[in-house]
Amino acid sequence: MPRFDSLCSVMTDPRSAVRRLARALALTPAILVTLLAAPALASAPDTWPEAPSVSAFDMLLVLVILPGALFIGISVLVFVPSMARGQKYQPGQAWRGESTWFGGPQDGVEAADHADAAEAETADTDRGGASARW
Amino acid sequence: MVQVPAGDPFTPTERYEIDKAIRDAETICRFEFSVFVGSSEGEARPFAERLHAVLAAPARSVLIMVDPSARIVEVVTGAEVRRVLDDSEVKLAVLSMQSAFAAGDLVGGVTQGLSMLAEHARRPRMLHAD
Repeated sequence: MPRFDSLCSVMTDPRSAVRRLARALALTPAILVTLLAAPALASAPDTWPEAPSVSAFDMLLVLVILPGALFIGISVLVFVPSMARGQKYQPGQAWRGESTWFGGPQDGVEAADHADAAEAETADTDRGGASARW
Repeated sequence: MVQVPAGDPFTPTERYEIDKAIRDAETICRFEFSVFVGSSEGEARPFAERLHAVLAAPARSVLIMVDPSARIVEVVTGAEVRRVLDDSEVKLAVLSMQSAFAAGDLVGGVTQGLSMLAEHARRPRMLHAD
């Protein structure tokens, strides 16, 4: 039939044999390796080697004293800087210091008192900002 | 407990830290920053706005007011700043300051808030102006 003839002419590619050979060659190493890998067998020891006896002091040293020393050491390292700095402000404590204005006008808070409140209200109505309490 | 002397609530190191944070913030975003730490007279928000109004250039300024005894933090931004730094971004910085203050870290909270505000207020670089 003419339709199958044209199909066969497409299918019988003279290069297909070469391709099949190349595929076989590429797979050979993988197959060889899987076949050649002998199962690893190790005989289990009849008795476990005798562990050296550990004295009570050694055990205490490793299990109790060393972890304890590490714990204390790390705690000291964490707390000493803030203790040395002497934390001034505690959240529950009343603020005792004077008012401080960084980057404010020369005469500080008094300037705000001198300024006309009404003028300040109208001066800049497009102000933004946010606030929070803690 | 360490008693705070009535005079100066900040050590020289802490002052330096806050001053440096202000300078850095101003360098980053070219706005003016000022930090007020102390007790507010009357209502906190109007007081903070009054402080903001007497700054040299209120429209280009950001004022951070911290009242440690009333546990209030207020941030006031000028009109020009607000165009770049909207209130939700300010709120973010305020939240981070709030958590630092609640842990008792006054200076750390202020410096952190300053740097956050400055980072958010940094204007995007104009690549094609024409």
